[in-house]
Amino acid sequence: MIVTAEGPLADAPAAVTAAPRRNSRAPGRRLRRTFFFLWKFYAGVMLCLTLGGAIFVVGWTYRLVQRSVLRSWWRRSGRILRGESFVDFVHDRGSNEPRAQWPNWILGHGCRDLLARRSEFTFATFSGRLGRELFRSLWLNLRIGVQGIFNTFLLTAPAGVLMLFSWYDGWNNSFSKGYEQAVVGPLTGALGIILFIVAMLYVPLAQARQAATGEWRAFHHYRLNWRLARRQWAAGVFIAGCYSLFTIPVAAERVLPMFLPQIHPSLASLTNEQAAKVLGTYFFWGSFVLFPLYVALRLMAGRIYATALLAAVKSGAVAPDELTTWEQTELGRLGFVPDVPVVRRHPLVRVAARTSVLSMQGAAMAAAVVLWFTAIAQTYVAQFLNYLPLSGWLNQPLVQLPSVRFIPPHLK
Amino acid sequence: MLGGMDRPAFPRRIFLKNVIAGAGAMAVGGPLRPHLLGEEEPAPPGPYAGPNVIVVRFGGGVRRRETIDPEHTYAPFLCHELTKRGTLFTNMEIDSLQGVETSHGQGTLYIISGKYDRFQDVGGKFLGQRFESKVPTIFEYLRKTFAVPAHQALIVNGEDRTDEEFYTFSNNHLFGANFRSNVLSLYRYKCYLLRQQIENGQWAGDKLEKMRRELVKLESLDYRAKPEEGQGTEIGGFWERWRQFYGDTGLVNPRGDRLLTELSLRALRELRPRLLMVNYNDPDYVHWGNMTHYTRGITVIDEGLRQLVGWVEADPEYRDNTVFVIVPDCGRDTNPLASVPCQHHFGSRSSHEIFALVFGPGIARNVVNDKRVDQISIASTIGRVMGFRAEFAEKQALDEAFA
Repeated sequence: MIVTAEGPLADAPAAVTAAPRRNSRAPGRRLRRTFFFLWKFYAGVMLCLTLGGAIFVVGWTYRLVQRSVLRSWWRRSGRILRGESFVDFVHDRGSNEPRAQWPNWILGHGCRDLLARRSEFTFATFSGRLGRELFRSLWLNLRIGVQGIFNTFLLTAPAGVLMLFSWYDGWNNSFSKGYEQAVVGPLTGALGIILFIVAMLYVPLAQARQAATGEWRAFHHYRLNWRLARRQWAAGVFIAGCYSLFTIPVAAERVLPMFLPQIHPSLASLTNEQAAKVLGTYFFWGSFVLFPLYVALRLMAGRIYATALLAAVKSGAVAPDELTTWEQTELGRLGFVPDVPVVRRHPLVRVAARTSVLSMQGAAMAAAVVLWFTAIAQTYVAQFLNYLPLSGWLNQPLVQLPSVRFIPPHLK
Repeated sequence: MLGGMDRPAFPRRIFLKNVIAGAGAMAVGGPLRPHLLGEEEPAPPGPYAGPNVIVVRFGGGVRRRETIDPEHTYAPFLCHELTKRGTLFTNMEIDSLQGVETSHGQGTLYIISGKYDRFQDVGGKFLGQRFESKVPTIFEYLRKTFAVPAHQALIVNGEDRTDEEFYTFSNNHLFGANFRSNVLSLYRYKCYLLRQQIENGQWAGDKLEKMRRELVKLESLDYRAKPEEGQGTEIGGFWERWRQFYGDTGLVNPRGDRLLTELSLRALRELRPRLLMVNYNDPDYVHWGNMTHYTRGITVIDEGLRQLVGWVEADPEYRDNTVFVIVPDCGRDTNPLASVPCQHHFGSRSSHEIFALVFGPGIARNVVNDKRVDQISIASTIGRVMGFRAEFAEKQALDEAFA
């Protein structure tokens, strides 16, 4: 059963026969898995070519993160020592859980099971259920994607707007030599950068929690999410570094069209139609880089969240009633939610331990701030080299919508 | 064999002495040479009686499309009016030789020195743009050939371009500081104003010390300049009148490229330059992504041209006695793959493509020449107009420009 904030998602029948287990090592199965992997990867690449398609990528990736988090907890539960596989764990629920494999882009995961059991239903019931299942994943990807991107933009868009305004106004003012207002542009830009950095100290883990729980409200549990982020200060530095590092190829992809005619002089004399085609092909291949980097960052954040929450629950730093329904259910099934209250350490011991942790957290936060600054600085460099009027500021592909494809309006 | 030699016509010691003296004279060269070798001294430069020349650098980097293309121009006065008055070279280019860069400082030096060169920042600073020309500039040629005082060989610079303060003279040993031009710019005004304020006792104590340090810093921008020499009496008087009119704040005078027009008009009125170069630059703001900065910048330069030409036509000494040379420092990219196709001038084919317009007395009227010519021909062309030989320029004058 998939539990969401709105209640059970799947209309699972009262008694469900568990799907037959398959031998995952059979050659035919391996070939099939490879094929589906390639198809899912290719679909993700194609969807990154538009902002609208990128919403589906967000939703799909969130579902993938949910699976990854659950798998991470399952690994730590010790069940593997009992000979149980992750697929077994997932199938023990009594229905075909989507989290047994990578999420689909279009088809619901219950399609096969439904087809196998079609004799149990009337034609009308079967048709209705089949109709829903055919596009269930597409709907989920869209719904979760919209929720995900809405929350992300809520915290990151103000920074983008400030940076856009500061660049526009600052250079406008510089062009007209408005000395009296010279400070407005740089100050607004600095504020935008600070807001972005502050947001990014929080957003990756909040995104991961929303993805894992399937609840958009979980993104806004600021106190708990911040506590989790602080507990994983080293991982926070690591993921900031990864964002900064992964931004390099993404920024390079944005900037390279400015230099392509120097590399291939024949490109300088393209017609508008030809140029649009060349750019389309260019960004298509570029999405082969962007898509896996985006997914990798989300999975990393998911693992950090999984580790942080598990440690917090085990140590009693987070009480079970602070968790979402999904977290309580899954952690409970895996035996991580303690039945008895955890004995806390003596206050003096806690203060002593906390003091050393605080100084480490401070240093880690400073390091993370610097790394997030290097990430956003690349946006400024990219904007100088190849200016994108709106999307260059308002959409950071690895943070918000994973799409860098930009065909200049004069080519359309 | 040596014992049977005839006695030489003059003693060996005297012969060797003369050889050494002659070799030394050759090594020193310049003014000592004629004296040592018994030649006559060169005549002092005579007064200049030729036409005035105003060189307008239509900078910082413009394409032919937005300037001389009648369908797409943002410079209507240039495109529709001035081109009829002279010779328009529609196919002027900056050569694509190794090391020849398409940028503002480099383009300006190509124009005024007549030579392509690979320039590097004099201090070796990364992305630094302080260049010194190794060969003389048109200002040095003019002032060495004719008795033109420094305040009548002027460059008008923008406020963002302190690196271009270096273009007043080259480091060529036959020319150099003695034949330098003078510069009018906000930076020079700030130096003048600060010096005046310090000398007038406007500050005391720590503030005075701070201002003195500020002045030293400002005046040391060009390490070759001697601050104690000042800017000269005439330029000092110019700045004093400017100060009386616009005040000390710098907030009242025109700004951007309009400031250059105002400085040029005032210079023409008060200093009566024989050779004036106006270094417009604001179209270069398109580097930051806003296309309207480029097109507005071109229009502002066009309006400046209208004012300069109008003023020249109204002045009895300058009317019918002034040749205009309008030429960009460089072109801009035309990148069909970019959101702003002309955002930069990164050495593309289009950034090498410029134009030149020459009009005035002795210049062919209403001629359009589409033969490929070089930007470095401008220096020799100005030399032909003014009657000096740009001996270090690498290209001949543009013959087609002359009537």
